[in-house]
Amino acid sequence: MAKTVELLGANTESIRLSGTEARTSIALDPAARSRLSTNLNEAATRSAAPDRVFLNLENVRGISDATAFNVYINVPEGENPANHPDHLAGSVALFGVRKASAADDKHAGDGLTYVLDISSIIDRLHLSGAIDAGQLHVLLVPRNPVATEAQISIGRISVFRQSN
Amino acid sequence: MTLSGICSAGLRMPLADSFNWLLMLAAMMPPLIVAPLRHARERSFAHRRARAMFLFVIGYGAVWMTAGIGLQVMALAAQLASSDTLTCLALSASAAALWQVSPAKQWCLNRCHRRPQLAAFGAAADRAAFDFGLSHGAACVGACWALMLLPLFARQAHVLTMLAVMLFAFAERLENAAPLAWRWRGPGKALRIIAAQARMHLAPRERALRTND
Repeated sequence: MAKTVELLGANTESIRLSGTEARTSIALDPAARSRLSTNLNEAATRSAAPDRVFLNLENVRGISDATAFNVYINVPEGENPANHPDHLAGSVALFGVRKASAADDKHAGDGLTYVLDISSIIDRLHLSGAIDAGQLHVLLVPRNPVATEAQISIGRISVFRQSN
Repeated sequence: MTLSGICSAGLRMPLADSFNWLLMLAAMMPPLIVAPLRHARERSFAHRRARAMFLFVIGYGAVWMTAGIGLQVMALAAQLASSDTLTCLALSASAAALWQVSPAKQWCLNRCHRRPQLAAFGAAADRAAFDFGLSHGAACVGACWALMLLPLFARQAHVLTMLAVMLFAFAERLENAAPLAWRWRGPGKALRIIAAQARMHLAPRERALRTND
């Protein structure tokens, strides 16, 4: 059976990554969120396969290949993200971003897109009811502080649902 | 061509030729916009997909309709300079060949590969889809304007020329983006795909024939 993939939510504007962290919020589409919640409820009761959920960092551009950062979801405000490894969506290293950001080379200048599997985090947020708030808070924490000159930007951060 | 002929052609152009141009675009462009349409669809919420694709097509079509006026004027000017259709066709073929090898063409082709981030919510999402259509249309016009002159002059083989131009334009979009340079660029990857497919289909037959021998 063909898998259905749909956009679940996205942030509203591109973000710059510089310094020691960057934050953004992802608004979830109510209808898509409802379909996800229904699926997760059914998966819990009927042992059906739960939907998988992915965080997409779209059109990541910049001129520093050496940048690496961790991506956290819904870390409580004011707390150290390192103390919340269960909120860690994944780590991203921007190897190749410089070439992918050049418009007139072997790439079209769209940058790179990274996909992180956040199914387990979403499952926990669903169980705690936090997903009903309709927003996910994304925190990007560079391994080393990022200089403004690195011009790291992320075009859009989005969440996709894939039904099995 | 007499003055009255020029005037009547000028008056006729906005109506009949615009409709013909629209038909020509509708016939030729669908294969060229499959990939960007898919991008607009996949990056939109399920309930906004049709709307995003529609707005992309409107933006894309608006650019091509505007470009059509320019191309029709160029065609008319060429016909005024020389009434011989073959001369016009040779001139447009030369222009297309020169454009084909130029860095400017590569600049446009590179922008045909662009897949920008699209806003997901409200009016910003509509604007993003429409703007994507405009920018993709502009890149497409830049890449194909010279090729699109050919069907305008090929009166006898109009449909055949349209088909050839469409296939060529589609095939050259299969190539990756590349640095800007003066060089020949064509449908190399498409030809390699066709050759590989042909080999795959012919190989079992050859093996079967060898086994029978």
